[in-house]
Amino acid sequence: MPEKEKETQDGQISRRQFIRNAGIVVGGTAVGSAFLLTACGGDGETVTNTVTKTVNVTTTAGSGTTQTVTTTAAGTTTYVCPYDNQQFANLAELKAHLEAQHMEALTKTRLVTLNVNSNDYIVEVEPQWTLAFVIRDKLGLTGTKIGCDEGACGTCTVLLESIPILSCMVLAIECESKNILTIEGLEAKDGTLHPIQKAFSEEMGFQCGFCTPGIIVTTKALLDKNPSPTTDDIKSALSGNLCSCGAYDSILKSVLSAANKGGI
Amino acid sequence: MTIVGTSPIVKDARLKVTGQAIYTQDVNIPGMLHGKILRSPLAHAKIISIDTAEAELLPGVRAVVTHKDCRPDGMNSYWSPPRLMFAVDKVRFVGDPVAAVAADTVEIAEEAVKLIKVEYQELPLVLDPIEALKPDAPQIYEAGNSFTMAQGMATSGTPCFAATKGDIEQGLKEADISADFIISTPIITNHSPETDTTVAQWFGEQLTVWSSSQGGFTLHSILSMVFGIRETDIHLISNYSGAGHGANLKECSMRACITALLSRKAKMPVKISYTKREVFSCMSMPDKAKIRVRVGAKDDGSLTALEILQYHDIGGYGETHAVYSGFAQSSLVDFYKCPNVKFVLYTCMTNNGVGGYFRSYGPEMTCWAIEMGIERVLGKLGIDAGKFKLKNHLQPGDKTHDDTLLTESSVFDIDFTAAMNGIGWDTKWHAPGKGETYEGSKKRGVGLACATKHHTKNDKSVELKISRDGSIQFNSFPGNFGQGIGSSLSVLLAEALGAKYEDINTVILGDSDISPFTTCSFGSSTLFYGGHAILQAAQEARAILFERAANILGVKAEDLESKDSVISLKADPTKKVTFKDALQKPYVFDIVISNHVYGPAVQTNTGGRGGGIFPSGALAVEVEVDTETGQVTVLEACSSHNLGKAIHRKVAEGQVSGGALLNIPRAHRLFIPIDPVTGTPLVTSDDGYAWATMVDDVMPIVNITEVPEPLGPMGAAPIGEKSVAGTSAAVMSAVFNAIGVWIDDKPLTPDKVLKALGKV
Amino acid sequence: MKTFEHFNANTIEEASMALESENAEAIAGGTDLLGRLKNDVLSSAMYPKTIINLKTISSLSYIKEETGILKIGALTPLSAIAADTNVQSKYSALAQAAGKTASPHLREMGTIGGNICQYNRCWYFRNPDNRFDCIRKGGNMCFAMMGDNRYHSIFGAVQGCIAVNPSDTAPALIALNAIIVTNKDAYEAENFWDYAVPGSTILAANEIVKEIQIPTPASGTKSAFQKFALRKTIDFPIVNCAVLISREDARICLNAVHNNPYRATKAEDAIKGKAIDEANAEAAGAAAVSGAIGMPGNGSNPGNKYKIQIAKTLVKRAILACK
Repeated sequence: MPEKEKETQDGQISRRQFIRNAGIVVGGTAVGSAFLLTACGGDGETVTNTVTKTVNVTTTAGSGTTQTVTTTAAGTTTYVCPYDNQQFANLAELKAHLEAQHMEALTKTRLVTLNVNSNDYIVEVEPQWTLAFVIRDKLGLTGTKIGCDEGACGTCTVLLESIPILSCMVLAIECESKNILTIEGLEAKDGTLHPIQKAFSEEMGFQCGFCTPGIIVTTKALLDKNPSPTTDDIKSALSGNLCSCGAYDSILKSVLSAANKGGI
Repeated sequence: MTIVGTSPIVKDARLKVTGQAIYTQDVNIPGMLHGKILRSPLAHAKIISIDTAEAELLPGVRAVVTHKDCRPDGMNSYWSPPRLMFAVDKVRFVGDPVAAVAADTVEIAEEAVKLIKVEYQELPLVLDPIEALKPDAPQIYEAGNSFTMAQGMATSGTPCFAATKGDIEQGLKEADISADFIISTPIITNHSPETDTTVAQWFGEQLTVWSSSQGGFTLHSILSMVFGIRETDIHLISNYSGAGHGANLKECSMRACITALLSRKAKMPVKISYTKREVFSCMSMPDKAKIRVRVGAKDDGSLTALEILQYHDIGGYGETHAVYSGFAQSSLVDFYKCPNVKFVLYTCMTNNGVGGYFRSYGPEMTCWAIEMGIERVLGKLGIDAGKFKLKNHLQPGDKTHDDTLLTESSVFDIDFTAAMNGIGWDTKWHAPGKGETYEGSKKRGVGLACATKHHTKNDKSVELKISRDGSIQFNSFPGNFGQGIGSSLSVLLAEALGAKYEDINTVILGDSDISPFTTCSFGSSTLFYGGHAILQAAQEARAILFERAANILGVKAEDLESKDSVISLKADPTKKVTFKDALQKPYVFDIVISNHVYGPAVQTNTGGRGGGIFPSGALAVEVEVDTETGQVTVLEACSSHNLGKAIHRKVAEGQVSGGALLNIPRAHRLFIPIDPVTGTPLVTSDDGYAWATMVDDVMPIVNITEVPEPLGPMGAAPIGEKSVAGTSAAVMSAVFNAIGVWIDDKPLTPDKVLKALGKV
Repeated sequence: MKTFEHFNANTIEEASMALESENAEAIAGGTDLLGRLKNDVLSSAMYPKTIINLKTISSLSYIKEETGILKIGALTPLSAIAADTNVQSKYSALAQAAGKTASPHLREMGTIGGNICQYNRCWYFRNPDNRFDCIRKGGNMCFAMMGDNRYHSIFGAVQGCIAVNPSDTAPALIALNAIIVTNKDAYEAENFWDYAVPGSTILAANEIVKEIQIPTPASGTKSAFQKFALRKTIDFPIVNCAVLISREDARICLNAVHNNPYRATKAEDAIKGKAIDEANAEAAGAAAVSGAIGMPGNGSNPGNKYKIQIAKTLVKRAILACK
């Protein structure tokens, strides 16, 4: 990928653009020109190039005096390929050139920065990868489990900007710059269990443990918002988390215990 | 006892609450490929051809396999009937494996599977077990559609099992009142929460497998027979598994075989992680049956005859235990005192999915049918069924029709009473359909059922190690799927050794290379026999410790006692050595004891077909039926179980509470609909499957009875399965009590209830 | 999932232009779209080549009341709508409907715009790998007709299809007289849903919902929502119903009973201006389902005539809740 560069030459502004969100679809599928333009210009930088020229015009007045008048010609816009600086008269020609010459560069993988448990991870991500897949398979944080993989069981719950969401139904590339909390982020740096984890330990709020990370993370969001929940509040907050062992009773007791002991 | 009966923090608590517990879906090996299985979209068809050429050419594909890659004599005989891992000449259910692919990524594997061209010739299909036995039914197997213990596949209609006592026809003649009806159970799934996974890797001719499983060496013997390698060439690591309730007993062997086959061909490790749809529809469809019940009774309710003809649908293929589940509870046919009983099991092949078994195999078929039989006649007579059952069941010391002895732990009087009191039976029972109406349209009723399940006699082993630093480890191979066995055995061990529970620091439950022979976890036998194994090992270890301590202290071993990992003189506790001291002098030493318990050797006098004991349990429920919408809600449930001795209190309570809670929905809302035209399961994931939730299902009131089971370790009785028993019977009886109308088919969804009420 | 291009739209215009491309689809909460893509519900020819993210368009998530109109941005999460005290008190049916949709997590992720645009849940339509290439997807058969149709339409087929609209908020919006504003036009809620292959709305390819507008009901008006499903959480409705009753007017809308949300005008006539009591509400319920036929059962298929009884009951109960 070409890096961002700024070059200024007299009368000519040329910038190389790191094409992000290219949207220039492989395989020749037509994308609207305005879309292409906007996509290329996402950062406020443009692949267009407006050239203004200073023109000296010499005219001879009737009485034999020479006058020089300086005018500025109207600008003409050319379209510049960010990879090789070739210029084109219109957007269609630029697009055709990109698709013909720079297909490899238009790879779908994108570098994104994910902030997980207060750590920044820079990772290459394909657009269709879910957040669950990326945090498990690319970041190695396998504490978040995958149950149904279609948003019906609550197993894969993580906090996205403090909100409990189903990581199997969220695209990782849409999570840049948002803080994410997984089960691994609950314990303290020295390994001390979070009060919620401690309560679940003591009350044995689990059996096989598979739904446990999703339930504990959902509980964290609940207690952060409502430190003294009623039984109904708890049941409601956890109504999207399925437990195959039927351990709901001890789960409820664990959450009540965490709340009573100040489980934030 | 100081530790038994308490609730120390379970051994794997930290791993589970931090997300550090590794489940097989978390296993990642360098270079690992991803496998996907091509499954038949048709329920019954001949395979004309399989063309894998295009799939093999896809970049990133490393291996493609079909039945051609299997050893012809590598049949998996834990299936009924035995089969190769791939269909050969025909497919028999939607999802029947036909081929598999290993590729660099899951996406490439999925794409490659779509490129495999299979030519099918569709055959007519049959989805009902009674229909399947008719002479003009589509033949799923050449020999016929019946499976029998004696001869495998047999002519359609050959019974698999039968037991009789007395004379049924005579008993029916003597009856004042009788009933003859057919009830049915739906298709459900074992609902494993995880996407069950296996990873396989070969080292020469030695195979390592990581798999969700229910432990035991069953998978070894299957892999051994399928690949023609020795069992000791197989290293199975059973990671933490999501609750399988029996799904991970045998079907996981199909997944393991396919994964291993791909790995062998690709010469790389391979991982197959089932999609939820595969978990739902290709792993295990338990307890599907049509059951005809004929029952007769006198005017006072006493039974004169009870006949159960059970048509058990085990699909296109069943696991071997699926067959057992068909007759497993037949001992109880005369549990409610009946002089003439008959039980006949027809194990029927159909084009439904794999016949499996759900935790507590049998009660949702046979025991349910028994309860429905007695409830029907009592209902006609207007007799309080709960009170009647309390007075008319077999007692400890009695034998069932097949000579199964009810031991001292079969104290059903106590559990029936506790369950009924728990929900306030006396103030709530009324004549069927004659109770109060609430909120203009809601009727309430109560129901009681016995909740028991025989445990199976099998083999468990434990290897105990007390290290030279005094720390204690043990290993066994029951698998790790939430049964709390590691902690329960630790409690027993700590008690027997006189050690601190906390000093038992390593409990390995899933590594076949280090574990002595153990059967997998089924039949509520792990705590029972594993408990004996660990107690015996503890005795031996204690003897060695005391001998060494006696040496150090210069006293006699019999004058010593141990507590909190310290051995001291009874007469003078200041004279003591720690476990560590005892293992350091006169030379450093580890104590290693391996103990194997052979089930049948533990019990010699319980007789009967299976010889398993039936510790008591009962479930009482109160339901509310909204007669305007057909919605059935369980308002209260009380589950009372005799555990003999609750070894780890919270583990035991969790089993009793969780078992009832998770199984109650089978009575009134849990099912998978099957497309009648193609045999395709129409619900393939949690979305659309009405499993128990926090807001829908009542937390059962739990009562734990502790009348010791003399055959059990420290008096403990088995619990794993019976905790889910009795649920459908109790709920359906309660619905009858509420609305006064019987509904024959489970589950009691709104359409059925409204139809029964004449509102459709 | 198979791959696709992904584009973060900055403005509605950008998103609209991008949607003009072949096989482009918009993503809001993603709770319907991603499920469809993971399961390959539609044919491969219809798999999107580009996904256009609407969440990067700023200022589409809001709830505000201005001069007699409640305005809700299309990207407002259902949880916010359910929790808003003004919506709860004055536009109760909508708050209740939003609060009963799916599960807590899905309500945080799912938007009102997405909820009204979601595809149907017929289990033949949704069977993975496009197993049943039905009428709705361009095929020539409705598999539910001869199959298991216990959750399908009780008012017959539309162009051969008996799948139902599964939205919980849809009937509430109709009952509340909502207007659905897009980047192209504004529609009365009742006209927003239409049988279409394979989607369920009248939106053109490049048309995006921007805002929901609900006229503030006159004082003394009450609205309510009832949902029937096997469970109280996660499940889609088997039948649901929203009702708005003012002194002179009644608006009653059932859903999950027909292709589109079903405005029960006969029930409205039966209750308009009448006292809200058991007898009148019951009569209105019966009127709501007059004309309902239901599918007959056959073998393992119980049919869906029982839904008629449930629909009747929900109408009655929703009316009584407006007392």
